[in-house]
Amino acid sequence: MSASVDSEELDVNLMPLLDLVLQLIMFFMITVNFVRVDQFDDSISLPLASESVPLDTAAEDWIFLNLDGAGRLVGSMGSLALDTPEKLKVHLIRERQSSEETARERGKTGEIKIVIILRADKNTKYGDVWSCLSSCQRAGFKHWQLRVMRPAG
Amino acid sequence: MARRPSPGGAAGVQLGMIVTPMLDMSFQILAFFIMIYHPSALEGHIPGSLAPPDNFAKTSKDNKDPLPMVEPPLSVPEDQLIPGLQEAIQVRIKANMRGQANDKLEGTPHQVFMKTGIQTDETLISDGDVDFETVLGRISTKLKEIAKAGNVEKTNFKIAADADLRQQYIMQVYDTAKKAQFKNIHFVPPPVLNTKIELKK
Repeated sequence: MSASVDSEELDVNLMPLLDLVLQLIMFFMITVNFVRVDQFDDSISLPLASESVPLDTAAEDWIFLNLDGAGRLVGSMGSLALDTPEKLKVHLIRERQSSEETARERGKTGEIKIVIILRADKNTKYGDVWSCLSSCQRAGFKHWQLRVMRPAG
Repeated sequence: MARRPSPGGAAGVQLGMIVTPMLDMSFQILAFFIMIYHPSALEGHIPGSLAPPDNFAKTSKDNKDPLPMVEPPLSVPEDQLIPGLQEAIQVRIKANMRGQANDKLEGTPHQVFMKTGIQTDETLISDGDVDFETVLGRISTKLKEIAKAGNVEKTNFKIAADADLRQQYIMQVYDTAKKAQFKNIHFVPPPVLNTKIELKK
């Protein structure tokens, strides 16, 4: 963009714009959180619980289970046809063994803390949640977290 | 920046910083970060424990549910799972079933019962005649009365519900118990069949 007046050339000063853009980039780089798709499945509307605690990351590994309103597993496990509690249990046992092996290869000794993260839709039936938890329990998992929404502010 | 003749009229070019390509690239990086940005801070969690089944099969006295065979209390450390569970305060919610003779949606709360540790029978809190917020208010009032009497931090609180009840109502009861300062909150497995509606007591 320029205008020619008395052979003077006027340029737009882009420096403030560049400064601002770089600051925005810095903000997003600091706050970015690279997550797998199944960790924040937007199709699941979590129930609200004001007394929940902030997210905890103290574990060797996590296994995410996303239950939609109809009680079906969605996300990465949705394509595995885990339509019965027994199939889910077998799959979870394999996942647990795989996670434990990986942790041991990294030099971890003792009990490997693998946490089941259950993201159940607010319209999921209590029975479906329990069916899922029962499979986790029979697969040998000891820790779980129920994901909920915290009220803003 | 464009090349321009020097003010002095001498032949040559002014070397300025060319910011346009840098700005283009910055906008692309900015667009990338905006697209992948996800404000995850609003999600929280409720921690729980899935105790090994054998421990509960040996210790739980009211082990009557056919499936699952155990009652694994959740959301408490494992060393606090068993003691006092039989004397726990319990809130039990029956859900509206499909085809039931009322105009309520399937999976919404119907009857709500409550039982304290010293009671042998449950008390009917609601028969589905009021909205759930009112029911929660009644539960809260009762829990606060119990809390005044003594050591709620070690008192166990159980939430039992029909398999058809929607998860959001369970969470509302959980919130109510937490607000009344109860720390040891357990989720009871739903009974397999819930077709019977209990009579008003």
